[in-house]
Amino acid sequence: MADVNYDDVLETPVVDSEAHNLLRRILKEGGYAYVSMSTRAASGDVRAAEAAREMAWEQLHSGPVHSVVPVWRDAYAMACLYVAKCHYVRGEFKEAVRVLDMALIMGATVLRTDLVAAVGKAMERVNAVEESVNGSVNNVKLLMDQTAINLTEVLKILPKKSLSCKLVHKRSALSLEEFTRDHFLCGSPVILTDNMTHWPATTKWNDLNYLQKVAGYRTVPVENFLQVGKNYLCNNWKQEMLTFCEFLQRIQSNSPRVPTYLAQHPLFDQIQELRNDIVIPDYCFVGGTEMKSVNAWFGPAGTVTPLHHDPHHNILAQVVGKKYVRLYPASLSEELYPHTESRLNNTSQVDLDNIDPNEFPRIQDIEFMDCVLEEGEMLYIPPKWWHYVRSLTTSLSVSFCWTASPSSPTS
Amino acid sequence: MFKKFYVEADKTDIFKLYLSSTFHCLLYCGQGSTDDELSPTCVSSLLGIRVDGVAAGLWHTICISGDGDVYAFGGNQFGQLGTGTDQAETLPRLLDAPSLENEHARVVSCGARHSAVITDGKVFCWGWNKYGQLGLGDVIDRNIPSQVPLDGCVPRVVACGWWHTLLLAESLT
Repeated sequence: MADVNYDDVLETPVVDSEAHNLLRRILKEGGYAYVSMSTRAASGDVRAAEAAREMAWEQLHSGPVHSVVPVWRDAYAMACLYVAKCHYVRGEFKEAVRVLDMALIMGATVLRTDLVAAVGKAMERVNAVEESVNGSVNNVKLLMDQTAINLTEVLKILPKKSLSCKLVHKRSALSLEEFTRDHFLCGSPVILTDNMTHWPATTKWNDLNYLQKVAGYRTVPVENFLQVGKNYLCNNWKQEMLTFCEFLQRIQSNSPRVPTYLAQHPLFDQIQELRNDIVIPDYCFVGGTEMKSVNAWFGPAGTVTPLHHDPHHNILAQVVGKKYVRLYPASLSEELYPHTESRLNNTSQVDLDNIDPNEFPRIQDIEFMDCVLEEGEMLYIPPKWWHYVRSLTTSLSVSFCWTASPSSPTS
Repeated sequence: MFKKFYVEADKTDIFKLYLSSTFHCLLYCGQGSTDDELSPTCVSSLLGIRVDGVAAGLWHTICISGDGDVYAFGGNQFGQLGTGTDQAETLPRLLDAPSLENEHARVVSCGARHSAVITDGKVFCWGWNKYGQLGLGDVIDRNIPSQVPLDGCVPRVVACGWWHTLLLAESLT
Protein backbone atom coordinates (compact mmCIF):
# COMPACT_ATOMS: atom_id res chain seq x y z
CA MET A 1 0.00 0.00 0.00
CA ALA A 2 1.37 3.38 -0.99
CA ASP A 3 2.25 6.06 1.51
CA VAL A 4 -0.44 8.59 2.18
CA ASN A 5 -0.17 11.40 -0.34
CA TYR A 6 -1.82 14.57 0.87
CA ASP A 7 -0.95 16.55 -2.24
CA ASP A 8 -3.26 14.51 -4.42
CA VAL A 9 -6.76 14.40 -3.00
CA LEU A 10 -10.35 14.16 -4.11
CA GLU A 11 -11.90 17.57 -3.96
CA THR A 12 -15.48 17.85 -2.77
CA PRO A 13 -16.51 21.50 -3.15
CA VAL A 14 -20.24 20.80 -2.93
CA VAL A 15 -19.89 18.75 0.25
CA ASP A 16 -17.73 21.45 1.75
CA SER A 17 -20.35 24.10 1.12
CA GLU A 18 -23.46 21.98 1.73
CA ALA A 19 -22.36 19.86 4.69
CA HIS A 20 -23.65 22.26 7.30
CA ASN A 21 -27.10 22.38 5.70
CA LEU A 22 -27.21 18.67 5.11
CA LEU A 23 -26.26 17.81 8.67
CA ARG A 24 -28.99 20.10 9.95
CA ARG A 25 -31.58 18.29 7.86
CA ILE A 26 -30.28 14.93 9.01
CA LEU A 27 -30.48 16.01 12.65
CA LYS A 28 -34.11 16.88 12.06
CA GLU A 29 -34.69 13.29 11.04
CA GLY A 30 -33.09 12.03 14.24
CA GLY A 31 -29.72 11.17 12.72
CA TYR A 32 -27.66 12.21 15.76
CA ALA A 33 -25.24 9.33 15.55
CA TYR A 34 -24.74 9.93 11.86
CA VAL A 35 -23.98 13.60 12.37
CA SER A 36 -21.44 12.85 15.07
CA MET A 37 -19.67 10.31 12.84
CA SER A 38 -19.84 12.59 9.84
CA THR A 39 -18.15 15.43 11.65
CA ARG A 40 -15.22 13.16 12.47
CA ALA A 41 -15.23 11.76 8.96
CA ALA A 42 -14.81 15.25 7.56
CA SER A 43 -11.39 15.44 9.17
CA GLY A 44 -10.25 12.19 7.61
CA ASP A 45 -11.31 9.59 10.18
CA VAL A 46 -11.98 6.59 7.92
CA ARG A 47 -13.63 4.47 10.61
CA ALA A 48 -16.07 7.26 11.36
CA ALA A 49 -16.75 7.70 7.63
CA GLU A 50 -17.49 3.99 7.28
CA ALA A 51 -19.78 4.02 10.30
CA ALA A 52 -21.69 6.99 8.87
CA ARG A 53 -22.01 5.15 5.60
CA GLU A 54 -23.34 2.03 7.32
CA MET A 55 -25.93 4.08 9.19
CA ALA A 56 -27.13 5.82 6.06
CA TRP A 57 -27.20 2.51 4.20
CA GLU A 58 -29.45 1.04 6.87
CA GLN A 59 -31.81 3.98 6.53
CA LEU A 60 -32.01 3.37 2.81
CA HIS A 61 -32.86 -0.30 3.30
CA SER A 62 -35.31 -0.18 6.15
CA GLY A 63 -38.47 0.08 4.15
CA PRO A 64 -39.90 0.15 0.66
CA VAL A 65 -38.41 2.72 -1.70
CA HIS A 66 -41.22 5.22 -1.31
CA SER A 67 -40.78 5.32 2.46
CA VAL A 68 -37.12 6.31 2.38
CA VAL A 69 -36.66 9.84 3.69
CA PRO A 70 -34.77 11.58 0.84
CA VAL A 71 -32.14 13.26 3.02
CA TRP A 72 -30.69 9.85 3.86
CA ARG A 73 -29.72 9.39 0.23
CA ASP A 74 -27.68 12.57 0.46
CA ALA A 75 -26.30 11.38 3.79
CA TYR A 76 -25.22 8.15 2.12
CA ALA A 77 -23.58 10.01 -0.76
CA MET A 78 -21.74 12.32 1.65
CA ALA A 79 -20.43 9.44 3.76
CA CYS A 80 -19.30 7.66 0.59
CA LEU A 81 -17.40 10.75 -0.50
CA TYR A 82 -15.58 10.83 2.83
CA VAL A 83 -14.76 7.13 2.58
CA ALA A 84 -13.62 7.55 -1.02
CA LYS A 85 -11.39 10.45 -0.06
CA CYS A 86 -9.66 8.22 2.48
CA HIS A 87 -9.17 5.42 -0.05
CA TYR A 88 -7.85 7.85 -2.66
CA VAL A 89 -5.30 9.42 -0.38
CA ARG A 90 -3.98 5.94 0.42
CA GLY A 91 -3.65 5.09 -3.27
CA GLU A 92 -6.56 2.65 -3.14
CA PHE A 93 -8.06 3.97 -6.37
CA LYS A 94 -10.21 0.98 -7.36
CA GLU A 95 -11.75 0.95 -3.91
CA ALA A 96 -12.47 4.66 -4.20
CA VAL A 97 -14.22 4.07 -7.54
CA ARG A 98 -16.32 1.27 -6.06
CA VAL A 99 -17.50 3.39 -3.16
CA LEU A 100 -18.27 6.34 -5.44
CA ASP A 101 -20.30 4.08 -7.74
CA MET A 102 -22.43 2.91 -4.82
CA ALA A 103 -23.08 6.58 -4.04
CA LEU A 104 -23.95 7.35 -7.66
CA ILE A 105 -26.38 4.46 -7.74
CA MET A 106 -28.05 5.07 -4.38
CA GLY A 107 -27.41 8.72 -3.64
CA ALA A 108 -29.64 11.56 -4.71
CA THR A 109 -28.75 14.59 -6.78
CA VAL A 110 -27.39 17.14 -4.31
CA LEU A 111 -23.84 15.81 -4.37
CA ARG A 112 -23.80 14.48 -7.91
CA THR A 113 -21.24 16.90 -9.31
CA ASP A 114 -18.78 15.99 -6.55
CA LEU A 115 -19.38 12.28 -7.20
CA VAL A 116 -18.94 12.56 -10.95
CA ALA A 117 -15.78 14.64 -10.61
CA ALA A 118 -14.37 12.30 -7.98
CA VAL A 119 -15.01 9.13 -9.93
CA GLY A 120 -13.48 10.72 -13.02
CA LYS A 121 -10.32 11.60 -11.12
CA ALA A 122 -10.08 8.22 -9.41
CA MET A 123 -10.59 6.42 -12.74
CA GLU A 124 -7.73 8.42 -14.25
CA ARG A 125 -5.49 7.05 -11.51
CA VAL A 126 -6.83 3.52 -12.01
CA ASN A 127 -6.11 3.70 -15.74
CA ALA A 128 -2.67 5.17 -15.17
CA VAL A 129 -1.81 2.27 -12.89
CA GLU A 130 -3.24 -0.26 -15.37
CA GLU A 131 -1.24 1.25 -18.19
CA SER A 132 2.00 1.14 -16.25
CA VAL A 133 1.40 -2.43 -15.14
CA ASN A 134 -0.11 -3.98 -18.25
CA GLY A 135 0.94 -1.68 -21.05
CA SER A 136 -1.54 -0.95 -23.81
CA VAL A 137 -3.61 -3.76 -25.26
CA ASN A 138 -3.10 -4.62 -28.89
CA ASN A 139 -5.20 -7.65 -29.79
CA VAL A 140 -8.75 -6.93 -30.81
CA LYS A 141 -11.40 -8.73 -28.77
CA LEU A 142 -15.00 -8.62 -29.89
CA LEU A 143 -17.88 -8.74 -27.47
CA MET A 144 -19.82 -10.86 -29.89
CA ASP A 145 -19.04 -12.31 -33.28
CA GLN A 146 -21.23 -11.20 -36.10
CA THR A 147 -22.43 -14.55 -37.43
CA ALA A 148 -26.01 -14.48 -38.65
CA ILE A 149 -28.60 -16.21 -36.53
CA ASN A 150 -30.30 -19.32 -37.78
CA LEU A 151 -33.98 -18.45 -37.99
CA THR A 152 -35.17 -22.05 -37.78
CA GLU A 153 -33.22 -22.58 -34.60
CA VAL A 154 -34.43 -19.30 -33.19
CA LEU A 155 -38.08 -20.13 -33.80
CA LYS A 156 -37.66 -23.20 -31.64
CA ILE A 157 -36.91 -21.14 -28.56
CA LEU A 158 -39.34 -18.29 -29.21
CA PRO A 159 -42.99 -18.30 -28.10
CA LYS A 160 -45.39 -20.13 -30.41
CA LYS A 161 -46.44 -18.42 -33.65
CA SER A 162 -43.55 -15.94 -33.48
CA LEU A 163 -42.74 -14.08 -36.68
CA SER A 164 -45.66 -15.65 -38.49
CA CYS A 165 -48.35 -12.96 -38.33
CA LYS A 166 -47.74 -9.25 -38.51
CA LEU A 167 -44.17 -8.01 -38.49
CA VAL A 168 -43.45 -4.53 -37.21
CA HIS A 169 -43.02 -2.17 -40.14
CA LYS A 170 -39.51 -0.87 -40.84
CA ARG A 171 -38.97 2.67 -42.06
CA SER A 172 -35.68 4.20 -43.01
CA ALA A 173 -34.53 7.73 -42.12
CA LEU A 174 -38.04 8.74 -41.11
CA SER A 175 -38.61 12.48 -40.83
CA LEU A 176 -39.97 13.91 -37.58
CA GLU A 177 -43.16 14.93 -39.37
CA GLU A 178 -43.77 11.47 -40.75
CA PHE A 179 -42.98 9.89 -37.39
CA THR A 180 -45.38 12.24 -35.59
CA ARG A 181 -48.17 11.80 -38.11
CA ASP A 182 -47.90 8.09 -38.79
CA HIS A 183 -46.85 6.70 -35.44
CA PHE A 184 -46.64 9.08 -32.47
CA LEU A 185 -50.14 10.54 -32.78
CA CYS A 186 -51.92 7.30 -33.55
CA GLY A 187 -49.96 5.01 -31.27
CA SER A 188 -48.48 2.79 -33.94
CA PRO A 189 -45.23 0.88 -33.38
CA VAL A 190 -42.47 1.15 -35.97
CA ILE A 191 -38.85 0.14 -36.44
CA LEU A 192 -36.71 3.14 -37.31
CA THR A 193 -33.65 2.21 -39.32
CA ASP A 194 -30.63 4.26 -40.39
CA ASN A 195 -30.77 6.36 -37.27
CA MET A 196 -27.81 5.18 -35.31
CA THR A 197 -24.96 5.48 -37.77
CA HIS A 198 -23.66 8.55 -35.98
CA TRP A 199 -23.54 6.84 -32.61
CA PRO A 200 -19.95 6.09 -31.56
CA ALA A 201 -21.45 3.14 -29.68
CA THR A 202 -22.12 1.21 -32.89
CA THR A 203 -18.41 0.77 -33.49
CA LYS A 204 -17.05 1.04 -29.96
CA TRP A 205 -19.30 -1.21 -27.93
CA ASN A 206 -18.45 -4.43 -29.70
CA ASP A 207 -14.85 -3.89 -28.63
CA LEU A 208 -14.16 -5.62 -25.32
CA ASN A 209 -10.93 -3.73 -24.77
CA TYR A 210 -12.78 -0.45 -25.09
CA LEU A 211 -15.54 -1.50 -22.69
CA GLN A 212 -12.98 -2.77 -20.21
CA LYS A 213 -11.03 0.47 -20.38
CA VAL A 214 -13.89 2.91 -19.91
CA ALA A 215 -16.06 0.86 -17.58
CA GLY A 216 -14.24 -2.26 -16.40
CA TYR A 217 -13.67 -1.12 -12.84
CA ARG A 218 -17.04 0.55 -12.44
CA THR A 219 -19.68 -1.15 -10.28
CA VAL A 220 -23.14 -1.90 -11.67
CA PRO A 221 -26.31 -3.54 -10.33
CA VAL A 222 -27.30 -6.74 -12.12
CA GLU A 223 -30.14 -9.22 -11.86
CA ASN A 224 -29.57 -12.92 -11.56
CA PHE A 225 -32.15 -15.55 -12.19
CA LEU A 226 -31.64 -18.75 -10.34
CA GLN A 227 -33.71 -20.70 -12.84
CA VAL A 228 -33.67 -20.90 -16.62
CA GLY A 229 -36.19 -18.77 -18.44
CA LYS A 230 -37.40 -17.06 -15.32
CA ASN A 231 -37.68 -13.36 -14.66
CA TYR A 232 -38.40 -10.76 -12.04
CA LEU A 233 -41.83 -12.22 -11.35
CA CYS A 234 -40.50 -15.32 -9.65
CA ASN A 235 -38.88 -15.61 -6.27
CA ASN A 236 -35.59 -17.00 -7.46
CA TRP A 237 -34.30 -13.64 -8.52
CA LYS A 238 -31.48 -11.75 -6.91
CA GLN A 239 -29.81 -8.43 -7.37
CA GLU A 240 -26.07 -8.17 -7.12
CA MET A 241 -23.36 -5.53 -7.48
CA LEU A 242 -20.60 -6.51 -9.90
CA THR A 243 -17.77 -4.66 -11.54
CA PHE A 244 -18.50 -4.13 -15.22
CA CYS A 245 -15.57 -6.41 -16.01
CA GLU A 246 -17.02 -9.23 -13.88
CA PHE A 247 -20.35 -8.65 -15.58
CA LEU A 248 -18.83 -8.94 -19.07
CA GLN A 249 -17.10 -12.17 -18.04
CA ARG A 250 -20.38 -13.60 -16.77
CA ILE A 251 -22.36 -12.85 -19.89
CA GLN A 252 -19.68 -14.30 -22.09
CA SER A 253 -19.21 -17.46 -20.10
CA ASN A 254 -21.79 -19.40 -22.11
CA SER A 255 -23.73 -20.28 -19.05
CA PRO A 256 -27.32 -20.15 -20.27
CA ARG A 257 -28.60 -21.63 -17.04
CA VAL A 258 -28.12 -18.43 -15.10
CA PRO A 259 -28.56 -15.30 -17.21
CA THR A 260 -27.11 -12.22 -15.55
CA TYR A 261 -28.89 -9.10 -16.78
CA LEU A 262 -27.94 -5.45 -16.37
CA ALA A 263 -31.50 -4.29 -16.83
CA GLN A 264 -33.26 -0.95 -16.63
CA HIS A 265 -30.28 0.84 -15.15
CA PRO A 266 -29.45 4.53 -15.77
CA LEU A 267 -25.90 3.54 -16.67
CA PHE A 268 -25.35 6.69 -18.71
CA ASP A 269 -25.88 8.94 -15.69
CA GLN A 270 -23.25 6.89 -13.96
CA ILE A 271 -20.57 6.36 -16.63
CA GLN A 272 -19.91 9.52 -18.61
CA GLU A 273 -17.79 7.81 -21.29
CA LEU A 274 -20.69 5.57 -22.27
CA ARG A 275 -23.05 8.55 -22.24
CA ASN A 276 -20.83 10.16 -24.84
CA ASP A 277 -21.23 7.13 -27.12
CA ILE A 278 -24.99 7.50 -27.56
CA VAL A 279 -27.22 10.25 -28.93
CA ILE A 280 -30.79 10.84 -27.75
CA PRO A 281 -32.91 10.25 -30.88
CA ASP A 282 -34.59 13.33 -32.30
CA TYR A 283 -37.89 11.45 -32.17
CA CYS A 284 -37.78 11.61 -28.38
CA PHE A 285 -38.34 15.36 -28.59
CA VAL A 286 -41.65 14.98 -30.40
CA GLY A 287 -44.44 16.07 -28.11
CA GLY A 288 -42.54 18.82 -26.32
CA THR A 289 -40.78 16.20 -24.41
CA GLU A 290 -40.18 15.42 -20.84
CA MET A 291 -37.37 12.93 -21.00
CA LYS A 292 -38.11 10.37 -18.34
CA SER A 293 -35.20 8.01 -18.46
CA VAL A 294 -32.41 6.57 -20.51
CA ASN A 295 -31.63 3.02 -19.47
CA ALA A 296 -29.11 0.37 -20.37
CA TRP A 297 -30.21 -3.20 -21.04
CA PHE A 298 -27.06 -5.31 -21.33
CA GLY A 299 -27.03 -9.08 -21.15
CA PRO A 300 -26.39 -12.48 -22.71
CA ALA A 301 -28.68 -14.46 -24.98
CA GLY A 302 -31.78 -15.71 -23.21
CA THR A 303 -32.73 -12.75 -21.03
CA VAL A 304 -36.49 -12.29 -20.96
CA THR A 305 -38.54 -9.27 -19.99
CA PRO A 306 -42.08 -10.62 -19.52
CA LEU A 307 -45.15 -9.14 -21.17
CA HIS A 308 -45.99 -5.75 -19.65
CA HIS A 309 -46.80 -2.17 -20.60
CA ASP A 310 -45.47 1.26 -19.60
CA PRO A 311 -47.20 4.64 -19.52
CA HIS A 312 -44.49 6.40 -21.53
CA HIS A 313 -43.35 6.58 -25.12
CA ASN A 314 -40.38 4.29 -25.57
CA ILE A 315 -37.63 3.86 -28.12
CA LEU A 316 -35.53 0.73 -27.76
CA ALA A 317 -32.23 1.19 -29.56
CA GLN A 318 -30.35 -1.99 -30.42
CA VAL A 319 -26.61 -1.36 -30.41
CA VAL A 320 -25.00 -4.80 -30.24
CA GLY A 321 -26.75 -8.09 -30.89
CA LYS A 322 -30.37 -8.95 -31.62
CA LYS A 323 -33.58 -9.08 -29.66
CA TYR A 324 -36.99 -10.57 -30.33
CA VAL A 325 -39.85 -8.26 -29.41
CA ARG A 326 -43.55 -9.09 -29.39
CA LEU A 327 -46.17 -6.34 -29.13
CA TYR A 328 -49.86 -6.46 -28.24
CA PRO A 329 -52.07 -3.37 -28.72
CA ALA A 330 -52.72 -0.93 -25.89
CA SER A 331 -56.47 -1.48 -26.30
CA LEU A 332 -56.19 -4.98 -24.87
CA SER A 333 -56.48 -5.57 -21.15
CA GLU A 334 -58.36 -8.55 -19.67
CA GLU A 335 -57.36 -10.64 -22.66
CA LEU A 336 -53.79 -10.43 -21.41
CA TYR A 337 -54.65 -11.27 -17.78
CA PRO A 338 -52.84 -8.50 -15.89
CA HIS A 339 -51.89 -9.18 -12.26
CA THR A 340 -54.37 -7.79 -9.75
CA GLU A 341 -51.75 -6.72 -7.21
CA SER A 342 -51.36 -2.97 -7.67
CA ARG A 343 -47.61 -2.96 -8.05
CA LEU A 344 -47.84 -5.50 -10.86
CA ASN A 345 -51.00 -4.51 -12.69
CA ASN A 346 -49.00 -3.41 -15.74
CA THR A 347 -47.67 -6.96 -16.08
CA SER A 348 -49.38 -9.93 -17.66
CA GLN A 349 -49.70 -13.14 -15.69
CA VAL A 350 -49.07 -15.07 -18.87
CA ASP A 351 -45.65 -16.60 -19.43
CA LEU A 352 -45.44 -16.41 -23.22
CA ASP A 353 -42.75 -19.07 -23.19
CA ASN A 354 -45.08 -21.47 -21.45
CA ILE A 355 -48.70 -20.47 -22.05
CA ASP A 356 -51.17 -22.38 -19.93
CA PRO A 357 -54.18 -22.71 -22.27
CA ASN A 358 -56.54 -23.59 -19.44
CA GLU A 359 -55.62 -20.64 -17.25
CA PHE A 360 -55.27 -18.14 -20.06
CA PRO A 361 -57.43 -19.23 -22.98
CA ARG A 362 -58.11 -15.86 -24.54
CA ILE A 363 -54.52 -14.92 -25.27
CA GLN A 364 -54.09 -17.61 -27.91
CA ASP A 365 -56.48 -15.88 -30.31
CA ILE A 366 -55.15 -12.37 -29.90
CA GLU A 367 -53.31 -10.78 -32.80
CA PHE A 368 -49.88 -9.37 -32.18
CA MET A 369 -46.97 -7.75 -34.01
CA ASP A 370 -43.40 -8.90 -33.58
CA CYS A 371 -39.91 -8.55 -34.95
CA VAL A 372 -36.28 -9.38 -34.58
CA LEU A 373 -34.68 -6.07 -33.71
CA GLU A 374 -31.30 -5.88 -35.43
CA GLU A 375 -28.17 -3.88 -34.68
CA GLY A 376 -28.59 -0.27 -35.68
CA GLU A 377 -32.38 -0.37 -35.44
CA MET A 378 -34.68 1.42 -33.02
CA LEU A 379 -38.15 0.19 -32.09
CA TYR A 380 -40.79 2.78 -31.17
CA ILE A 381 -43.24 1.39 -28.60
CA PRO A 382 -46.25 3.67 -28.04
CA PRO A 383 -47.62 4.17 -24.50
CA LYS A 384 -49.50 1.23 -22.98
CA TRP A 385 -48.54 -1.17 -25.74
CA TRP A 386 -47.76 -4.54 -24.21
CA HIS A 387 -44.27 -5.81 -24.97
CA TYR A 388 -42.26 -8.98 -24.38
CA VAL A 389 -38.53 -8.95 -25.08
CA ARG A 390 -36.08 -11.83 -25.40
CA SER A 391 -32.42 -11.45 -26.32
CA LEU A 392 -31.30 -13.79 -29.08
CA THR A 393 -27.60 -13.08 -28.70
CA THR A 394 -25.37 -11.10 -26.36
CA SER A 395 -27.21 -7.82 -26.47
CA LEU A 396 -26.53 -4.21 -25.58
CA SER A 397 -29.64 -2.05 -25.90
CA VAL A 398 -30.55 1.45 -24.77
CA SER A 399 -34.11 2.56 -24.01
CA PHE A 400 -35.36 6.14 -24.10
CA CYS A 401 -38.62 6.87 -22.29
CA TRP A 402 -40.44 10.14 -22.56
CA THR A 403 -43.85 11.67 -22.02
CA ALA A 404 -45.49 14.30 -24.13
CA SER A 405 -45.80 17.52 -22.12
CA PRO A 406 -49.45 18.47 -21.53
CA SER A 407 -49.11 21.89 -23.13
CA SER A 408 -47.76 20.49 -26.36
CA PRO A 409 -50.08 20.62 -29.39
CA THR A 410 -49.26 17.04 -30.23
CA SER A 411 -50.20 15.57 -26.85
CA MET B 1 -38.10 1.05 15.09
CA PHE B 2 -39.77 -2.30 15.30
CA LYS B 3 -42.49 -2.82 17.81
CA LYS B 4 -42.71 -6.41 18.77
CA PHE B 5 -44.83 -8.15 21.33
CA TYR B 6 -45.33 -11.70 22.26
CA VAL B 7 -48.10 -13.08 24.36
CA GLU B 8 -47.14 -15.56 27.01
CA ALA B 9 -49.99 -17.87 27.78
CA ASP B 10 -50.12 -20.52 30.47
CA LYS B 11 -46.97 -22.57 30.02
CA THR B 12 -48.92 -25.76 29.47
CA ASP B 13 -50.84 -24.23 26.64
CA ILE B 14 -49.73 -23.77 23.14
CA PHE B 15 -47.96 -20.49 22.73
CA LYS B 16 -49.16 -18.33 19.97
CA LEU B 17 -46.70 -15.94 18.60
CA TYR B 18 -47.94 -12.65 17.50
CA LEU B 19 -45.66 -10.33 15.69
CA SER B 20 -46.56 -6.90 14.77
CA SER B 21 -44.56 -4.31 13.08
CA THR B 22 -45.34 -0.75 12.24
CA PHE B 23 -42.43 -0.64 9.89
CA HIS B 24 -42.97 -1.45 6.25
CA CYS B 25 -40.20 -3.54 5.02
CA LEU B 26 -39.36 -6.53 3.07
CA LEU B 27 -40.71 -7.81 6.27
CA TYR B 28 -40.69 -10.89 7.26
CA CYS B 29 -43.69 -11.58 9.33
CA GLY B 30 -43.09 -15.26 8.83
CA GLN B 31 -46.32 -15.45 6.85
CA GLY B 32 -44.76 -16.83 3.72
CA SER B 33 -44.95 -13.58 1.77
CA THR B 34 -43.46 -10.12 1.87
CA ASP B 35 -46.72 -8.21 2.36
CA ASP B 36 -46.94 -5.86 5.32
CA GLU B 37 -49.12 -6.83 8.26
CA LEU B 38 -50.54 -3.88 10.12
CA SER B 39 -52.08 -5.85 12.98
CA PRO B 40 -50.72 -8.72 15.02
CA THR B 41 -51.00 -11.84 12.93
CA CYS B 42 -50.42 -15.38 14.02
CA VAL B 43 -47.41 -17.10 12.53
CA SER B 44 -49.37 -20.23 11.72
CA SER B 45 -46.46 -22.42 10.76
CA LEU B 46 -45.33 -22.29 14.38
CA LEU B 47 -48.68 -23.37 15.77
CA GLY B 48 -48.21 -26.41 17.94
CA ILE B 49 -44.78 -25.23 19.01
CA ARG B 50 -44.38 -23.48 22.31
CA VAL B 51 -42.35 -20.35 21.70
CA ASP B 52 -40.27 -19.29 24.68
CA GLY B 53 -38.48 -16.32 23.23
CA VAL B 54 -38.41 -14.04 20.24
CA ALA B 55 -36.15 -11.24 19.11
CA ALA B 56 -36.01 -9.07 16.00
CA GLY B 57 -33.35 -7.06 14.21
CA LEU B 58 -33.58 -4.64 11.30
CA TRP B 59 -34.71 -7.29 8.85
CA HIS B 60 -34.88 -10.61 10.70
CA THR B 61 -36.58 -12.45 13.53
CA ILE B 62 -35.33 -15.34 15.67
CA CYS B 63 -37.57 -17.52 17.89
CA ILE B 64 -36.65 -20.19 20.37
CA SER B 65 -39.01 -22.98 21.33
CA GLY B 66 -39.70 -24.79 24.59
CA ASP B 67 -37.78 -27.74 23.14
CA GLY B 68 -34.72 -25.56 22.72
CA ASP B 69 -34.92 -25.27 18.95
CA VAL B 70 -34.12 -22.07 17.10
CA TYR B 71 -36.21 -20.72 14.21
CA ALA B 72 -35.17 -17.89 11.95
CA PHE B 73 -36.87 -15.87 9.22
CA GLY B 74 -36.44 -12.60 7.40
CA GLY B 75 -33.58 -10.96 5.57
CA ASN B 76 -30.29 -12.78 5.48
CA GLN B 77 -27.83 -10.62 3.61
CA PHE B 78 -25.29 -10.83 6.43
CA GLY B 79 -26.00 -14.40 7.48
CA GLN B 80 -28.08 -13.20 10.40
CA LEU B 81 -30.52 -16.10 10.02
CA GLY B 82 -27.82 -18.66 10.65
CA THR B 83 -29.00 -21.02 7.91
CA GLY B 84 -25.62 -21.25 6.21
CA THR B 85 -26.68 -19.30 3.13
CA ASP B 86 -27.52 -15.70 2.29
CA GLN B 87 -31.02 -16.54 1.14
CA ALA B 88 -33.92 -14.78 2.84
CA GLU B 89 -36.68 -16.87 4.40
CA THR B 90 -40.33 -15.84 4.41
CA LEU B 91 -41.34 -18.74 6.67
CA PRO B 92 -39.70 -19.76 9.96
CA ARG B 93 -36.79 -22.03 9.21
CA LEU B 94 -35.60 -24.46 11.89
CA LEU B 95 -31.86 -24.04 12.31
CA ASP B 96 -30.13 -27.37 11.97
CA ALA B 97 -26.52 -26.27 12.28
CA PRO B 98 -24.21 -28.96 13.67
CA SER B 99 -23.03 -26.50 16.30
CA LEU B 100 -26.53 -26.38 17.80
CA GLU B 101 -27.08 -30.12 17.84
CA ASN B 102 -27.86 -31.26 21.38
CA GLU B 103 -27.95 -27.64 22.51
CA HIS B 104 -31.04 -26.30 24.25
CA ALA B 105 -31.58 -22.61 23.46
CA ARG B 106 -32.67 -20.58 26.49
CA VAL B 107 -32.23 -16.88 25.64
CA VAL B 108 -32.26 -15.07 22.31
CA SER B 109 -31.42 -11.52 21.30
CA CYS B 110 -30.92 -9.72 17.99
CA GLY B 111 -28.97 -6.68 16.92
CA ALA B 112 -29.49 -4.79 13.67
CA ARG B 113 -27.83 -7.45 11.58
CA HIS B 114 -26.69 -10.14 14.02
CA SER B 115 -28.15 -12.74 16.38
CA ALA B 116 -27.17 -14.27 19.70
CA VAL B 117 -28.44 -17.30 21.58
CA ILE B 118 -27.57 -18.70 25.01
CA THR B 119 -27.92 -22.44 25.47
CA ASP B 120 -27.06 -24.44 28.59
CA GLY B 121 -23.62 -23.10 29.30
CA LYS B 122 -22.77 -21.72 25.85
CA VAL B 123 -23.25 -18.60 23.78
CA PHE B 124 -23.60 -18.63 20.01
CA CYS B 125 -23.51 -15.63 17.70
CA TRP B 126 -23.92 -15.19 13.98
CA GLY B 127 -24.51 -12.50 11.36
CA TRP B 128 -22.75 -9.20 10.68
CA ASN B 129 -19.42 -8.84 12.39
CA LYS B 130 -17.84 -5.67 11.05
CA TYR B 131 -17.42 -4.33 14.58
CA GLY B 132 -16.60 -7.64 16.21
CA GLN B 133 -20.11 -7.86 17.66
CA LEU B 134 -20.08 -11.64 17.39
CA GLY B 135 -17.36 -11.88 20.00
CA LEU B 136 -15.32 -14.35 17.98
CA GLY B 137 -12.05 -12.41 17.91
CA ASP B 138 -12.26 -11.27 14.31
CA VAL B 139 -14.42 -9.13 12.00
CA ILE B 140 -15.56 -11.82 9.60
CA ASP B 141 -19.32 -12.34 9.21
CA ARG B 142 -20.72 -15.75 10.08
CA ASN B 143 -23.79 -17.38 8.55
CA ILE B 144 -24.06 -20.28 11.00
CA PRO B 145 -24.31 -20.20 14.81
CA SER B 146 -20.75 -19.92 16.11
CA GLN B 147 -19.73 -20.58 19.67
CA VAL B 148 -18.23 -17.64 21.55
CA PRO B 149 -15.21 -18.69 23.60
CA LEU B 150 -15.89 -18.16 27.31
CA ASP B 151 -13.47 -19.08 30.04
CA GLY B 152 -14.50 -19.93 33.53
CA CYS B 153 -18.00 -18.52 33.46
CA VAL B 154 -21.53 -19.47 32.59
CA PRO B 155 -23.55 -17.20 30.28
CA ARG B 156 -26.84 -16.07 31.80
CA VAL B 157 -28.25 -13.24 29.71
CA VAL B 158 -27.35 -11.81 26.34
CA ALA B 159 -28.55 -8.46 25.05
CA CYS B 160 -27.69 -7.18 21.61
CA GLY B 161 -27.47 -3.52 20.85
CA TRP B 162 -27.59 -2.24 17.30
CA TRP B 163 -23.98 -2.99 16.44
CA HIS B 164 -22.73 -4.54 19.69
CA THR B 165 -23.46 -7.33 22.13
CA LEU B 166 -23.54 -7.50 25.93
CA LEU B 167 -23.20 -10.74 27.79
CA LEU B 168 -23.93 -11.23 31.49
CA ALA B 169 -22.11 -14.28 32.81
CA GLU B 170 -21.66 -15.81 36.18
CA SER B 171 -18.17 -16.79 37.16
CA LEU B 172 -17.67 -20.37 38.21
CA THR B 173 -15.36 -19.68 41.07
